[in-house]
Amino acid sequence: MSDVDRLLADYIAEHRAGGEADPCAYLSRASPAERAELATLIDAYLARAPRQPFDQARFGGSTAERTVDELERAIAGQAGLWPAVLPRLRDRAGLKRSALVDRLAAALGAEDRREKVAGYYHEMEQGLLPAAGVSDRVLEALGRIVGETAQALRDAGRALTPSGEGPAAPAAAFARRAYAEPAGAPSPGTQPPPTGEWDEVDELFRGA
Amino acid sequence: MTFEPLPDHNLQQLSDEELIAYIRAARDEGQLAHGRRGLAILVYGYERDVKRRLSIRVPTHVVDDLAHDALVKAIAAAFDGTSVGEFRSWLNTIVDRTAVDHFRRAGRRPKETILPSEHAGEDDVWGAEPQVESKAGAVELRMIVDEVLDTFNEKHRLVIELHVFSGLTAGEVCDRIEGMSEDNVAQIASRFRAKLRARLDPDRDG
Repeated sequence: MSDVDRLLADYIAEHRAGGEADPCAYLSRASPAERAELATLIDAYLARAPRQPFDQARFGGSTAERTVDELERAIAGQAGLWPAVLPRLRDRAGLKRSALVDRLAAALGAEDRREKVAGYYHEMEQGLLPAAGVSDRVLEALGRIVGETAQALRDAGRALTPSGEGPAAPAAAFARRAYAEPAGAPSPGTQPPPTGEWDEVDELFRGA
Repeated sequence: MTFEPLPDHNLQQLSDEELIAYIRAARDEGQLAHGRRGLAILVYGYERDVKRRLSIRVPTHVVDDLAHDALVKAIAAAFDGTSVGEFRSWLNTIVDRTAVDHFRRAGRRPKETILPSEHAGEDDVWGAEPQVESKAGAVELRMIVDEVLDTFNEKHRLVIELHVFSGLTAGEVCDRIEGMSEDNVAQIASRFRAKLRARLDPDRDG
């Protein structure tokens, strides 16, 4: 049995036993000349491995649970994949929501209506704001802040609801699962604050 | 059609496609709380292996983010009907594309993918470097295997799938495939591995 055979067999055994089965740990044990072969074989094995049985104890608090929370809000909502995409982009940009809102309001020339921008952005992350109504100007500004293209944000907003119209499911019910919001954030499920007259901020977030 | 919620042990038995149909039906009937269970089984069921596959391709510090992106894209496409083929195959394709996109973005934003070798003495910060460090390599891993498998007939491909990728012994493979001897299994596996090595490194054996 070659080293590659032995390492692959050991890897499969560890994977099936529910172990860590970290490919890199095994690849580091292969000689440089054999590493690509072992990487290819492990990858091919993993691409065929059966779905892991569900384990509630391990699921709780896991990254998988967070992904499920986001997908649930996305499927229930009216904003495509924004509930799964926007919080991640914000995290990767190292921005708290309040900081992002500050920058977004400034980029839109709406510093004096920051709270209204905050309400709309919250609705975008929660999947409560119809994606089709959000203007390119907002997406371009947001994209510059989080390091994504406006088109990618638009595409994410169109996902799950190809017609651009959200499903009838009550999105607000799922927003209750959202992560703790900072004090002062608008209540999930509420419509953006249409107090007063329809203004440029409303037009930017709902008028497209 | 009326939606009927299923207990976990029944959901676990569903295929990926059946799970996605279940989630969609739950959503359509306004019972997404039940659909959430199906989502959990699907995401949990594949997340670790998606991370493992990505760890071969990209730096450790981006694996979790990219795994999230791949799972979200694959499930969303399967859910709204824009995916191609079976979910598992589609997920594999999305994982490959996600790794490629990472390298494309890294080209635009070099600071995003600092490798551990650039942080001498700080390996604990970044972890191991990927084993396949190029955009082409990220895609080719799976394509190379498929390409080599395609040079074998259907029966021999099954031998390779069972013996090499499923870890069955030669004897167990013979029990499943009529007319196959243990020597044949060993020879087929050996030929596959030799072709794979030659494809990975054409200059290696002259």
